[in-house]
Amino acid sequence: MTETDNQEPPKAKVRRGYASLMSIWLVPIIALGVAAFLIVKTFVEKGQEISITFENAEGMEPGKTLLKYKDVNIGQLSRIDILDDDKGVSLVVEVDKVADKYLTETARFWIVSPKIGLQGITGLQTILSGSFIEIDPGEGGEKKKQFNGLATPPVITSNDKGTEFILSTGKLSNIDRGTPIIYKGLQVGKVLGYQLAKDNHAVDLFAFVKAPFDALVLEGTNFWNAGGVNISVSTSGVEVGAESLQSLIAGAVEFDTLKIYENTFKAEKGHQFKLYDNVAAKNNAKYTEKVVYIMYFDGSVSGLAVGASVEFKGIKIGGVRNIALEIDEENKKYYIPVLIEIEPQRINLTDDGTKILSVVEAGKLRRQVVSGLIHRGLKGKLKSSNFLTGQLIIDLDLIPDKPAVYVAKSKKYPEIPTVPTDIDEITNSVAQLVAKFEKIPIDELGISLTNTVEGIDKFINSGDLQAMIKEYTKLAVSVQVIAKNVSSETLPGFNMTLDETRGAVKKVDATLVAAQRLFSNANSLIADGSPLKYDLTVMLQELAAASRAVRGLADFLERNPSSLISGKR
Amino acid sequence: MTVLAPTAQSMNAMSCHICGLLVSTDYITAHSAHCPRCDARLHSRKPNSLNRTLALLIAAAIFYVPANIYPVLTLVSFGKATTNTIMGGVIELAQGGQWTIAVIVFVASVLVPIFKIVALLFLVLSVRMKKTRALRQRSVLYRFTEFVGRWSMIDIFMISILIALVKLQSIATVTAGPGAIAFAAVVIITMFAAMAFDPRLIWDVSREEDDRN
Repeated sequence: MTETDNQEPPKAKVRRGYASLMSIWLVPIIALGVAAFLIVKTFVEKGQEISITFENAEGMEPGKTLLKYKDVNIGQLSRIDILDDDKGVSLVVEVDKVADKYLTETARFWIVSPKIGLQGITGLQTILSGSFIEIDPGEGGEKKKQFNGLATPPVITSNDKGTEFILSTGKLSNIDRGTPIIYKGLQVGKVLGYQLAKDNHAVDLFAFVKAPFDALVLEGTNFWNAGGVNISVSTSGVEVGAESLQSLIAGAVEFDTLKIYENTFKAEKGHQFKLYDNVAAKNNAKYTEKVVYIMYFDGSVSGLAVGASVEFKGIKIGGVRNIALEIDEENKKYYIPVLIEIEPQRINLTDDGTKILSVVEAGKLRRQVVSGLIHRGLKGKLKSSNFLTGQLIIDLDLIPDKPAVYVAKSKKYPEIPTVPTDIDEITNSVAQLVAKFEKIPIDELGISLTNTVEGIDKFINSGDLQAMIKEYTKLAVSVQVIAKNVSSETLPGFNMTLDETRGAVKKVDATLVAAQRLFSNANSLIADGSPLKYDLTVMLQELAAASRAVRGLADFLERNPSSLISGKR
Repeated sequence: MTVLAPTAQSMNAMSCHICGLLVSTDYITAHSAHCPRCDARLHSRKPNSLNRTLALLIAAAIFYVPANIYPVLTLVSFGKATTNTIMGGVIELAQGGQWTIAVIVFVASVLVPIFKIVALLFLVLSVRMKKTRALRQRSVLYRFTEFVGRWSMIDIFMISILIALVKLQSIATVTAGPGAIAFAAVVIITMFAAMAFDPRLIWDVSREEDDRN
């Protein structure tokens, strides 16, 4: 204290300051500004509420589920209302202000959730993030606040430009929503959906072809189902092919335009096309003209299917349309009428190239050709086209030397006579051969042969032969005595004659000796246990066994005609 | 009442806040004075203390509204976004049975800012109205306010740490909401307000009273 008493406090330095420049009241004003900004911003950004009706609210959580467009959040689910009329739920979504322009009548909403399908796995990200609602804004239109949600995500969104066509098919087979549409191996579109056609006999597919590929769809374009596996068996082997792995699993629709149709107009939106079941069906489709004939087959038609080809000398000229069974109760007979379609357009007419026939004329001429062929002995028979599957085709050929048998009861269709199949013929002739063999009395034949041999044997062994030979010798001796007497008593000339006679008698003697030897030889040959007799007996037994074997073979062939080709299994 | 001790002000002097040098105030007029020794600005009491405190309190009160309305925290866990306001978080904790944490968060984040604003407002107004009662208690109140202020920041610290740590993309992500900024502003502004208030003003009133007597 003493020090401070003596000491005057030092003087302060005085300087101009900025104290009053910034008022402290700016702080609450700024605070007010910031708070006001936040509140205004909230109100400005607070979008409108829309309601989307869905079947159910699976995976939806108010306050958490988002509305997304191109994976950008543009809104949030605020609450879920259950509709009174039990028609589903109404999702009330608060949409950001920026997305107001999307809320038009063309907008579509759907729920994105994980889905495993044939086309792959989609929405995988939602396993972690949870389902969300997606919007496809569409192409504008009037503003709207009530929407109906789609049960499944749309195959295409409004960003995809292209054209929609209708494909008509008999059955849906493996085509589904999202099935790719392929043009020369490129995926150019998708199947959007399908519905039963109005007549309930066909299915209409909605096919979407993306721009610029939709310009490739002309009025003459053919669509076909390219899905599944194509197995073709030919002489070169078995070919198994598929368009692609995806088309193998999920199916595919392919289209192409034939060269002759390349000048047709570009197909309009909604143009209706036929969807062929496969490439072959599409290739056959160019033969529009069909003439129906009927054929009656005697044998089994097992292996002949509807659609099997009808060939003339190995060239396909048509197909089987229908196979039926007719039983004639009165005559106790059955018939198998097979309706075939001959496509005369497959037949080219020989011309010198100068005449240009109109379509009608050419068609008429071709029909005349076919009926002319029938007159010239055209006959049909079943022919095996595939040894593996036993498939049959109808083979037409000119067989004028066999009589044409017509069995048709009705005049509805012209008839082409038939002949039995090759195998039938072989079986028949073998059976006939066996029947003939069976008629031969082989056993009796053998017995009588044995008897004959035994007779000869008895004859030789009986001793008569020996006695006879002895008699002959005696006769010769007496003749000799007479001759001696004669020679000694008569003329030398006569003697000379006698000598000659003696010579002759000697010769006879020699002959008899030879005969005796021969017979004894024969005796040894035919005697019981002699090799010749044994061989003969064995041969007869063999013959009997052979005839039995042939009969057995014939029976077997009759039952299994195919074994002629495939062998006995 | 209290003992009337001599103060720097009563001796026409003021001490430098930085180096403690006692300076005579004889020559000082409206313009700011500086310490001859350390060149710091000199003032006998915190200049404009009451106005500053009041202004900051008003600002804090304004920010207190969005701090409680807007979410302070958005937790995106497995795609499910959970946004929480301060009170929402407290309620959720309480419902989850975590009563202690709920109470701590409630006290630190809801009660303390309000308490600070109300307490400081009371101090400012009582000084302005030249109330002479309970001077010591008011001093204690001030000290308590200043002490407790920093604890409000635990919420902000927690959010900051969570944001930095929980970055597991789809599995869990934490982001701060606009409420967090407002809340941080409330806490910081109230701290400034507490700093701006000069507790010596409480006692100056009693001196004036005594002077008058």
